[in-house]
Amino acid sequence: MSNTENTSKTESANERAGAQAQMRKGVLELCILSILSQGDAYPTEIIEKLRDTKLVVVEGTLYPLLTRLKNTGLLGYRWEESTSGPPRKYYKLTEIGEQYLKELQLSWQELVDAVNKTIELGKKF
Amino acid sequence: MNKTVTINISGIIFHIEEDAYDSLSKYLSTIKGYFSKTDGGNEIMSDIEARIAELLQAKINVSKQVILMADVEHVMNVMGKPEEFAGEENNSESNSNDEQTEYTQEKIKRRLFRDPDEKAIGGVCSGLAAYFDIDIVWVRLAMFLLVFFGGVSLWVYIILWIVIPEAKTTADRLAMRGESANINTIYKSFKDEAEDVKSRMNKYGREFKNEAEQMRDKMKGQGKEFRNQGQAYSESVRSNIGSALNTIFNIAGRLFGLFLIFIGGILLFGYLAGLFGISVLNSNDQIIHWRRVIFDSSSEYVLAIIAFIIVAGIPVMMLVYGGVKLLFKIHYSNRWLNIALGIIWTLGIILGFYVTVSTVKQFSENARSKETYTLHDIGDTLIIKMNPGNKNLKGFNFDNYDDIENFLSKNHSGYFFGENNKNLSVIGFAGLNVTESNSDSVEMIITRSARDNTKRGANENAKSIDYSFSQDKNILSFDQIFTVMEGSRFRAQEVDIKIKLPKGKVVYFDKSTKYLLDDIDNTSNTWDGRMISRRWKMTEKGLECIDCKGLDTDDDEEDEHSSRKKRRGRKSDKVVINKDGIEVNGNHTEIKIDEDGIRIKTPDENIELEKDKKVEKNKK
Repeated sequence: MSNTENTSKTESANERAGAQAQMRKGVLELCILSILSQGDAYPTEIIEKLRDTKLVVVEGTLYPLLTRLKNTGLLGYRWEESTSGPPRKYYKLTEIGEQYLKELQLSWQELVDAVNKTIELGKKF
Repeated sequence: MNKTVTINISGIIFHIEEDAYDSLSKYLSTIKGYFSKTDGGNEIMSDIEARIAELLQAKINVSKQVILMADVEHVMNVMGKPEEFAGEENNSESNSNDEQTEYTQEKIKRRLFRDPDEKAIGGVCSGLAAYFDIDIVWVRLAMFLLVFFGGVSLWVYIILWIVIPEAKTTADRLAMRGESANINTIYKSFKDEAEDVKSRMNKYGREFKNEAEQMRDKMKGQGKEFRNQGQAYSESVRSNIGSALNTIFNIAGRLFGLFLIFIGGILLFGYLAGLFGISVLNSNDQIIHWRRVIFDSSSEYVLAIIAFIIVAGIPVMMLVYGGVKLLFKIHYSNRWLNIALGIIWTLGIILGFYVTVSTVKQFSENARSKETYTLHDIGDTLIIKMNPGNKNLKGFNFDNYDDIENFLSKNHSGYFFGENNKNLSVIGFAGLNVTESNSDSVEMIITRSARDNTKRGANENAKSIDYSFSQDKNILSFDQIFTVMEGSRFRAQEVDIKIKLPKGKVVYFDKSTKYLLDDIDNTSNTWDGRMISRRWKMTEKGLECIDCKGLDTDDDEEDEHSSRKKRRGRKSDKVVINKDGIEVNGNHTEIKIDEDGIRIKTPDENIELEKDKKVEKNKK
């Protein structure tokens, strides 16, 4: 009995953690694409902009994400020489990426609206 | 003062303190472990490394040229812990905690250790059992069977014992039971490595295409950018080629290890066969005698064998050792063991050298003792014959004269050894030569020679030769063999007979002297074996055959047992009748009738009817 309870507990915890991760991932994607829509940037610049907006992440998170976005065709990149260290990868939004960003922004807006409405409804009661 | 390591992160060189290096490389390999299963993991890795290089570059200036622990910690803080971002890209539903444990398990590659907790002798079997995930009982059983019925494997066990490191730390024990490594996973790792090469090559190809396209775009741009392009491009090419080559070397190294084990195994087998052979040869009579002949004492012989075991054995062991190390990627080397083996091997060489020198020294000095005789009552013709084999040969298994005759008909040179009352008995063969005498009398010189480590000893040994001849008017009879007197050692004793013949005298070699004659010069350059049964006259020019008319003289290439029917210059059929008797020479048969009796030679048999003797038949 206790075993099953334990497993169900951990499962729910896992689900929660998974949901959080998924949510954060989605939001992060949106942010990155938005930043890149304002102009090309290399990972460090992206990180700094994210920090300015208080969305704190460790830099390591960014690299796998960028690579995935690039591999799915939302981003392209070019090399640029740097005065301090190895050449930098400058990422830019592809046309598909721009389209995808528009859709994301739309669904984000809808989501925010829905959530806000729900929260306000809860306050009324 | 601190030790620094030089490293290269995405093409930039850093000097880094050792402790900082350790934690940085651990950090990087952890990240690598997380991304090893992700698509484009290599690319993510190189991006991260490039960023780390950038961060570290910022930490360096003219006055501070070395990366310290603090710098590495700063980098880790900026980049974050691997577990913080690795879960991001995993599409699996399971949570990051599970993944972590999975990853850490996968991270530890199983390695081969000796298990000190489970050991019976050296922990080799238990280590192997842990490595291959087999129940230890089977490994021990297999080892036992191989040792007692396979013969070789005791050495294998010892080599493994030496080569495989003992699991000392907890980390070692974990690695010992790490990712299961049975035959399948070993095969898989081979395959993975090969696939890795392939995918890297493909990726490199893809990137090359991308780069090329981008380069084309850039070509329209400025030259500076083109240069950047080239640099960055060559960077990526270098890193890709580098890692691919690494993997190839990795596989090649393991295969080479297998090859070394294989070769070493074959040599080991040959070596053991050699040792076995020595023990077998010890049961062979002639070899035992040779041993006694060559080595002064049995202790020297033992030393020689020990030298062989060391000088041949150690390199073979080292070959297998190196192979096992390469195959299982054991980066463990016992310096003291290597030094000890080196010293032992050198001692073995020295020992072998010593035994060789001391043996050779036994034969270093040469001495001759000459006996000169003046022969009277010879008349015109000297007849040289052979004593029948009536020597008293103790220590040889001759029951009667027939045995001796039989032995002599088969053996004409070299030495033969027997044993008599724990003493060595030696048979050697005499040689006879005929030259011109500068006086009017026939002279004979018998030279006995031998060797030893001193002149005096050599002289003694020469005097120990037992050899005799007899003269009956104009007939000289010689022993074909000489023996060495009882209790003397074999020291390359030899007997040479030289007969000096005045001009005008004739020598006749009886047929029995065929193997006694030793390269006798003559005008027709006739081979010794063909000089018998002929009369030779000493002339100005040397010995000249006086009853060889029509005989082919180009005899040096004559092959007695040649199957060639038509020999070049084969003597034609002829009949000679003169004061010596009657001689009929056919193509294959010879009939001679003279004062010695009647002899008929056919290809198959010899029939002799000698004076005062019964008919003798010798089957050839």
